[in-house]
Parts: sequence; structure tokens; C-alpha cells
Amino acid sequence: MKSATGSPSVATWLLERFTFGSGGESLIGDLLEEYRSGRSRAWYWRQALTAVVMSCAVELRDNGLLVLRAVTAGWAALYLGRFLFGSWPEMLSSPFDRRLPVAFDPLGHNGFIWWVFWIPVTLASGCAVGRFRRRPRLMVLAFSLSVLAWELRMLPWIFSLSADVLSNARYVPYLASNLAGLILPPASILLGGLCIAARENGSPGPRRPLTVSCRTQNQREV
Amino acid sequence: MGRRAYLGNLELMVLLALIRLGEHAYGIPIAREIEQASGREVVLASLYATLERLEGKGLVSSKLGEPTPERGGRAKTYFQATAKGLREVRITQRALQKLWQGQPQLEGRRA
Repeated sequence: MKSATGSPSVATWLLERFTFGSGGESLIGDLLEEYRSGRSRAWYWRQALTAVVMSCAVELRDNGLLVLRAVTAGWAALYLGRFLFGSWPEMLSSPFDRRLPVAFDPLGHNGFIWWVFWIPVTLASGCAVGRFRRRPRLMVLAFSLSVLAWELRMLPWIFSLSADVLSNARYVPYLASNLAGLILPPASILLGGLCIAARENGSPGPRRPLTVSCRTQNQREV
Repeated sequence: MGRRAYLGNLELMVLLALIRLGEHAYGIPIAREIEQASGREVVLASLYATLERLEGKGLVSSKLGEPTPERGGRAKTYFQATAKGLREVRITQRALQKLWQGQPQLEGRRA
């Protein structure tokens, strides 16, 4: 997918939202200029991803306390949602139990109805974090990454299922369900949080000068 | 001897590139200058991080140019070494030259 300027639009979208500081706009301009003068898509993506990772790492380090508050608030919202709505899927699905297609409910735990409730809860928790006044996009990203890190505990099980799928296609719905469980919560947090952050602050919002801490490199060198 | 910050490798290369390029130095020419001299690809994000760090130390000044269509309507940021930056480069040059002198391993073409 290409943007109006001809550059990979997803990479540019990431750059616009997840690079912080006064140099961000000039950096994107430089990348576009180089891409238009003949650099490859791979080069553009490599530069864009490096910029996003570097910028987020610096910002997360410099705003540690704020990030901690945002992640705590997000998890509190998630647990509140689970507390309020956690028993509803079971109550609502009991009349239809064992009648749902296996693709929606491979484990027999009312998976489909569970997702119908759980996705809005994750969206809402993302929205709650997206309302932070300072660096809302960064806060949403940090919260989403913390949820992804928690979901990664399922990876060994997913690897095991992947191996089973190679020998028996019957396990495909189980694998799909587990992959959805890995990807959907962090993705819906990002979606909800970024929508709110864009609405509250404008998209992608005016940049304020980056406060780079000069002491880190000097301390390492001296 | 007072406590002074040493210039890092990339910081020194960026300052030297700025001195060579004069007042038309922005991200791409600076990266090209360093790439030609070192033979290694420069990541633009690390170049901008270095420039902002140098600006924070007062060794570099910047000014915003006009937005252009080929840059998707984004302005260039022009950078220039300040008098303090030039002084730091000279001090680093003298220190390196002193360390270089009298080293037979470094005088030949081969390491």
C-alpha cells in the first residue's frame, strides 16, 4: 500500500504517530525525499522501523513514571471490565452451549460470546489510557506492549499447536483461536487508544521539542 | 583538569560533516557525507538523535527551512556547528593527534 507521496503508507503512518520530538517531521521529510530519489522500499521500512523503535525507547526511558501510571491504569480498567462483565458470556451462552460452530468455540468455553464482550473491554481500556494528556500515543503503545508481553506466555502452547496442525488439520481452529487471543487484545487496545488520542489531540498532533538527555552518552564515555 | 564531555565517534563525524557542508547541511547531505567517508550506512534516526544531543550541548544550532512538495510538505531542518562546536572539534583533533604520534603500528597502511 502506497501513500499519496508514493511512499509505503503504513511505514509513514507509524512514523507520524510513534516518533516524538522536533526532529520527527524533518526525519520523515528526509526519508520521503530519499525514497523519491530512488531508495528501495526495504530501505524505507528499515529506516522507519529503526526510527520508531529508537524514538519510543528514548521516550519510554525518559517518561518512566508516567508510563508506569498509564500501564497500571490500563490494567485496572481491564480488570474492572473483567469483574463487571466476566460472568456474562457464560450466563448468556448457556442456552446455546455446544451449538456454536467449532471455529468460534473450539475449546467449548463460549469463546465467541467471550470475545464479543472482551473486545469492547480491551477497546475501552485502550480509550482510558488514550485520554492521558501527556504523550497519549506513547502511553497507549506501552500499555498495549505490556498486554502483548503477558499474552506471550501462550507462545509455547501456540508452537505446540502449530506442530499439531502440520500433522492434523483438525487443530487449525484451535490455533486460530489462540492466535486471536494473542493478537486481538493488544491490537484493540491500540485501536481504541489511538482513536481517542487522535480525537483529543489532533492527528498526529503538533510536536514539541524533544528533550534529549545529554548526560547518558557522556556518562557512558567518561 | 576540568570535567568536560568527550565527543563520541558519531558526534565527531557529524560535526566534521557540518563544517564541510557549511550552511546547507540537513539530514540527507550530512548522512551522505558520513557514508562516503566511513563506507557505512547511516541510520537517519540515530543521526537526528545525535544532532539533537549536540544541540542540547550547544555545539550545533538549527533553523527550520521551507516545506517542499517532494518531502510531503515537510520542512528541512538546517544545522550548523556553533563556535563552541568548532572549539570542541579542535580540542578533540589535538587530543587524537597527540595519541596518534609515535605509534609505529598506526603509521603504515596496514593495521
